[in-house]
Amino acid sequence: MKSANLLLLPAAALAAALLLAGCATTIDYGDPTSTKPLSTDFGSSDLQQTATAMVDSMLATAPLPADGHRPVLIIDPVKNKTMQHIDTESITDSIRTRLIRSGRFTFQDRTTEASLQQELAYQQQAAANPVQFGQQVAAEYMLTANLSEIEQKFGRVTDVYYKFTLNLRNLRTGTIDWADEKEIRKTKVRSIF
Amino acid sequence: MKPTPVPLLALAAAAAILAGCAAPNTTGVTATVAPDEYGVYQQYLQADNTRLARQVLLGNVRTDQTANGLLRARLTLTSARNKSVQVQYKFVWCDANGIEIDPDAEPWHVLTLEGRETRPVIGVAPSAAAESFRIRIREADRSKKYIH
Repeated sequence: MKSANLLLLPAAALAAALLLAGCATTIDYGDPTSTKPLSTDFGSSDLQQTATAMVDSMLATAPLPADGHRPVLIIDPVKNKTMQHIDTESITDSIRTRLIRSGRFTFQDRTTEASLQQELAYQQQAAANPVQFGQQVAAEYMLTANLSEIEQKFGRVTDVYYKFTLNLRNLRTGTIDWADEKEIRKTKVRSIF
Repeated sequence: MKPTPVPLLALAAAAAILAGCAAPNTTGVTATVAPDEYGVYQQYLQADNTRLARQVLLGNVRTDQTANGLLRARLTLTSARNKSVQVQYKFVWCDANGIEIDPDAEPWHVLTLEGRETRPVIGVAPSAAAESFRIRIREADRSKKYIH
């Protein structure tokens, strides 16, 4: 009996060493497109999946001008109706970047308007060939978006549902010419211990 | 003397804990769809993860153009299991020379297939330069490594 205990001790020590080595705290570079969910919060993967789904749908089905010119769009900040702090400008940035890279749309940007006005004002005083005021191309469509969240908790289970809605509004007619939604559901079951 | 079951239990416990820390299998199934010299789209399937290839079947691979003149890929994923299976998929778009366009721009998408279910998967090329595509499918990372 005593010899069995003597054998057990080194075996247990070896197992503990292996465990500690394998699961020690680590820092590493990761895949920026990883879909590993860490919590039920709105994460980077949710942002990427939402942006690509919206852009794919828009490129496939959004109506374009009959004469084939690239329509000028303006994007309204996403209305964040969730309980979380989410950088919604990051979602619209991703959507806008993908749409611009597709070569099918051009964009006006109101978020950098103050800097633009400052630069134009400076040009009027200092530049030999200043850009004249009133030459900007007007936007024809406006992209508006909502991000909403429904959270349910029961016992150990947390269920969070996100819905992102994107609308393409025709500024001339005021009508919504295209819309789509992306839904995400994340579920967390807390461990018993 | 009857051998004590303690070492066996300890081994089982260690195996269970190590399984939680184990690196997930990130190989998968890749379907390449590219035009041949006659412009007809041909598909090639590369199954690195044979277990996944048996569980999830690719089918009905079609390509067409969107109204905006971009390449669109359409295919179906069918589960051959009776239980639900979660997979990740990612489109990779290539230009006429077979060079990948924006390698990091396409994220992994998560798709849950219920038992014996068939779901359509649609991807639109990020630019008009895309002429062929690959779709990579891998198992969802279900390891509990980061979850506390």
